[in-house]
Amino acid sequence: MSEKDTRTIRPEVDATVQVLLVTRTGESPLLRLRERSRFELDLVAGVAEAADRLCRDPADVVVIDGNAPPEPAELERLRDGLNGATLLVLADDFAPGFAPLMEQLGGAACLLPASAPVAVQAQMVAMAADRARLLAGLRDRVAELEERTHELDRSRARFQDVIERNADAILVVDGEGHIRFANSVAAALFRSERAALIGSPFGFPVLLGETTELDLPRNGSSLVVEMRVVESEWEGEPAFIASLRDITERKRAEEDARRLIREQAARSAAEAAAARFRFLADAGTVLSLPLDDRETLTTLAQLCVNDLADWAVVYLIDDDGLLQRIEVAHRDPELADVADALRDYPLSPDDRHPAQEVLRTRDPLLIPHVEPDQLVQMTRDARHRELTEQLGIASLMVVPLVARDRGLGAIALVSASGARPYDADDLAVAHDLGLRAALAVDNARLFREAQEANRGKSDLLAVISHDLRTPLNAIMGYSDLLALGIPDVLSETGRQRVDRIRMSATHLLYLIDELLSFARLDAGHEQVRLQDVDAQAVTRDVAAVLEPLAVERALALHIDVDSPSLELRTDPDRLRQILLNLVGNAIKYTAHGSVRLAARLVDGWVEFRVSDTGIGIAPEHLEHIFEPFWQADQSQRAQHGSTGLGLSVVRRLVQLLGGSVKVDSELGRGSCFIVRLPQRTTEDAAA
Amino acid sequence: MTGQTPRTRRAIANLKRICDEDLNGRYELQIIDVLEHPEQAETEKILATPTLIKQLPPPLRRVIGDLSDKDKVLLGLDVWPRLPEGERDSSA
Repeated sequence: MSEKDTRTIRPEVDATVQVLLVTRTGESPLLRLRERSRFELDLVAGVAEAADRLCRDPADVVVIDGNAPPEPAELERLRDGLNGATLLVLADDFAPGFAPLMEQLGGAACLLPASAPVAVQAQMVAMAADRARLLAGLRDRVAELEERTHELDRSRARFQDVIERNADAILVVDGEGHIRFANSVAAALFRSERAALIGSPFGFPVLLGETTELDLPRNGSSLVVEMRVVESEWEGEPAFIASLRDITERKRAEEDARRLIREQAARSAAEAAAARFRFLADAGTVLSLPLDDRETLTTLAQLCVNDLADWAVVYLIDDDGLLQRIEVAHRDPELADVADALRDYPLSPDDRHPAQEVLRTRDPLLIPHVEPDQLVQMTRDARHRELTEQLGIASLMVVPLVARDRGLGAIALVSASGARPYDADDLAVAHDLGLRAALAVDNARLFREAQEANRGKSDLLAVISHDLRTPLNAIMGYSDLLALGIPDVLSETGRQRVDRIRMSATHLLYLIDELLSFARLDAGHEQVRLQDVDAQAVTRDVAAVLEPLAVERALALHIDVDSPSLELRTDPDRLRQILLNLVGNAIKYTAHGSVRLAARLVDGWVEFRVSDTGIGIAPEHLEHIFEPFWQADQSQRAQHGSTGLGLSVVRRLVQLLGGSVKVDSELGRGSCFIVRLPQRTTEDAAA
Repeated sequence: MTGQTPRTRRAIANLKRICDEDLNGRYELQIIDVLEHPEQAETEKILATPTLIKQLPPPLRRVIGDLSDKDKVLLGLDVWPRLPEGERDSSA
């Protein structure tokens, strides 16, 4: 395509001239031309043969005898078969038969004077040949040009096709930013005619990188289009080829995908958080069960291994204040031996062991990815390291066990594979677990100590009770003897004095019993022996014991049992103790009037009411009166000689029997104590 | 611009930078949302945005794209910032 279209067509001056000579006789004046090397002569006998020969061997010039015009048909054949050759008629003048042919041939035929000198003839033949050649050249050239044009057209059609069939909109934009070309996709994209787009302003495209995004306004909203620009040429001037692709859907899909990922991430985070809470809740439940030390620790280690770690170690400070490895639990049962070996491996106090550090600083430790040199630092020797590596250590958390401001030990949680490194959230869970666990361990310890203390206390109580009673019994024994007049009968004054001794001793015995009761109840060692108890019988017993006291204080004592056959299943001794206490108090705190003990059945409960017309209890005291050692004022204590334990003992006893006690009172008017006991109890509730 | 899209925001940010750094406050900027003013899109023959049109001084020039290549933008707008005395190269 880069060749110039104008090319001068020059005949080749020195080329050989091919002459086809038609001569019937084989004779011709033109044979002289053979003498010149330029000319090659071919002879044929007739016009028909000439036509045939021309088919096979094209000639530049065909010469026929002007004196013998051929048949019209033959002449036509010759004319049609000339193939660009020039026809020369050798004659001095055209015979009539040649006239029509010559007319038709026009410039393609000429008269060759037969009598002209050979030089002239040669010149004329040469010229005729040149013409033929020029024509042929032109024809070839034209064919070539036509071929090229077709090729160009095809090529253009192909490119057009490419541009049209392209899914992208394609624009050619000139240096001023105007559109010079738009494909049909572009026309559709801009909702315009191609013709309208041509010449429209688009803009000088500016982008960083290969592509940029544009917005196309479209009824109240917009499309997003990706534009790619390359520098090129258009009709000799610099231009840009911009291809645009509608990516609105793609953008929407991307945004949807992003949103989906965000939602999924949020969901995962929420699920992880929920799982952590569940774990802590479970842990809380397990740890709050009453356990002894050993059990607590095993449970604790197992708890961690189920959810939070592949293996866990529990460290505790022993009695000498040294940190010991108490428990090692591993998720994989096949590694139980290795776990045990590690547990039994000694831990010296100057180790730079993370558990020591954590216990000292009381701060948790998180190592999301344990490096080899860190492992070396943490372990005391090769064997230790080997055991640790066998169990697997990729991620590590160590949290302190601190309860009631006392450092108890530490827990180490290990993830054996790198798949799930610990993060800050995991550490928070572990830390929380550590605090609860510490509390559980401390509680277990306190419980054990309390139990031992209780045992001690009970033993002490037994001793005290025995030691106190013995002399008291002696006092009472001897006073009885003296009262009976043994060895000597007493005077009236003497008798009165002995009576006072007896009363004081009895009271002292009563106080000791009260103290002992309280202590025993407090230690929680009391058992309850259930029987079928007749309410009336019990109330009669109580009345019998306290009648003298009432009489002495000039108070009326009323007993009022609802029905004669009111029965309940309870411990009769305890019930008696309760009622003696309450009725006794009522009598003591009532100056004048009456005390009443009533019993009745209410909804499956037996209700005992002890009411008096005494001084009453101030409202602000009501909530305290069941507390041990509490009395409204000290003077009362001195006056009545009580320990202030009575009502607390009553409450404990009532609770022991599965019932309740409360009080109604009004200052100046009196009080009423109400004890409710279940008529029928289940055996284990009374245990 | 066509509404509040990421492209709009980018273009405005880039434009602000160019105005601050190269035009030294000697400019007047009008921002037109073709969603709110579709008739402007017609009048100015806006095919796509972000499109920046420099009206004065003549000649009228138009630039389309993300405006992040400062030099190309200025070239496209036919705007030649005057370099302050002593400064050699203002391109980022």
